[in-house]
Amino acid sequence: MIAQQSRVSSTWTEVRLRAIIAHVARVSPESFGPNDNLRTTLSLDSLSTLRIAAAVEREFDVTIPDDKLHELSTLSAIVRTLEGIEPAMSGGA
Amino acid sequence: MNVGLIAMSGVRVKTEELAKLGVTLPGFVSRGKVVASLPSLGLLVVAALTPERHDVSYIEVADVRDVDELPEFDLVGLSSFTAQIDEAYELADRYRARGTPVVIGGPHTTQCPDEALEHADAIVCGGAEDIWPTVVEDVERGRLQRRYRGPNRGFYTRGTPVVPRFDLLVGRPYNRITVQTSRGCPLDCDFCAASKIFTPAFEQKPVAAVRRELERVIELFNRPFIEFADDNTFAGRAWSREFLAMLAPLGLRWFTETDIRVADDPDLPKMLYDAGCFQVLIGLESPRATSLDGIERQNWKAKRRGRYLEAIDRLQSAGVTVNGCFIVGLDSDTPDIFEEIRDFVHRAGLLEVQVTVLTPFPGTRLYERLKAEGRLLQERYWDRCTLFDVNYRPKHMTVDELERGLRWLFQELYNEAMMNKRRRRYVDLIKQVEAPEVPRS
Repeated sequence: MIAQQSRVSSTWTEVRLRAIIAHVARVSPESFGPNDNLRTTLSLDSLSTLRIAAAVEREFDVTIPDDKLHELSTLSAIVRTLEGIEPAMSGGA
Repeated sequence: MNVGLIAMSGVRVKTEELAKLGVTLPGFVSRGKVVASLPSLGLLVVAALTPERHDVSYIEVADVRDVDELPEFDLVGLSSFTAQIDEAYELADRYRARGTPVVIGGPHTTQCPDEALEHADAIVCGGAEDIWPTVVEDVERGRLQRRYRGPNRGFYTRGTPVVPRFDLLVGRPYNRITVQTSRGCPLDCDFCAASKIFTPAFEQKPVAAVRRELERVIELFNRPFIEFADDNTFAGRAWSREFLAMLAPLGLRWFTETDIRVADDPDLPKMLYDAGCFQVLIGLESPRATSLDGIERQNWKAKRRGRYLEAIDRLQSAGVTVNGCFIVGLDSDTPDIFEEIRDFVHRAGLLEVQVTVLTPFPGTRLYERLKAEGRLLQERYWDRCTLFDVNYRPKHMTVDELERGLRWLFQELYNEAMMNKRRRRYVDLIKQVEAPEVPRS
């Protein structure tokens, strides 16, 4: 049951993140895979990835550690980063 | 005819210690990489000016640098800035040795025509507009002249400007596409090699013509990032508003260079952001009043220095990052200038910084002055005109102090902690600026 809840939460997070990335990058949410490098696949520059970080922080009401801001290179990496700061995520659901 | 246009990209720092430092400094490297990977807009214009009956190929010097067999053309056109001119000459010599006519143009040739003529069948000084079709026709008819001079003003009043051949870039790994909206600069800084070489005036392209070029870029490339290849995009208020209003609905992301007056119009920072501007690069040059004094005929920058902080804040608060550019080694600079720049960068909260060494490019007033004062370290140092190598004796410090100060400043500004701080500041600014509008799925 716990595993199932976790799965549902993870899927929801991914869906929201996918929407955020697609919005900032102005692409369709289906145009990139979870492990695609966002900078190369979506032709994003460093400032665009920081705009994604800003949108993620606002959406999930979290603060991404400063030293992680430049590591948000894939959808999966953003999910992992969010999991690392999980306690603050409860408001997002 | 088969016309080959070869772009000379990729400036490399010569001073070994700085080059080593460069590869470890993210801020330095990122802008350096961007500049090195920009296509040559001048050659794309030349391609567009070439009569349609000829085939045109656009290649980068990296494509032919190490090949034994050069691609065959009936005519080769080269354009180069000063730092890469020796490599351009080598390439020209190779083509001429096999009987291919070579024409060289660009900023350095315009300044040093006799030198370029030693390596070319013909040279073009000034802009290519009007004159390039004549050059091509002369090659065709076997009557190529040695010297051609293109226009140096009236670029946008002599009929509709051509749309550069952006199609020649399709399939190549450029992460930015260059588009030009103006020639020249209303300022006249004595170190500036870029603007005054081609025109003593400041001319802005009609907004409709810029739009036509952007529409072509959008047609050819998926989500292009535009680098406006201007020296001073927002020097005219009315044009700026018209330009940004045109840009906003296109949904582009872009970067440009301008001066601090861009923040004078209280509406402009938000218009910039709404139009997709990610960053403006502004030549602040120095935080020190005495260092700014005299670098520009009207002392415009010295008079504006007191408003730097307010202007930077106004732009960045609107979500537009400012890449503040500083020059070290100006005549009033003393060894404590490096600390002064670092402190100013912190105080201003600049989200990006670029520091370069004062560089006496041939043809500039600075070059003539330093030459007259016997302060140039070598007679000919073109491959060291990288903006990071020292080529003259500074007035109030030694060459060694300038080089060491620059390295120290790089480390102060581009260390990981500072980079993280700037990233955080940008994220926080964007959170304030952007309304939450991510669509719910």
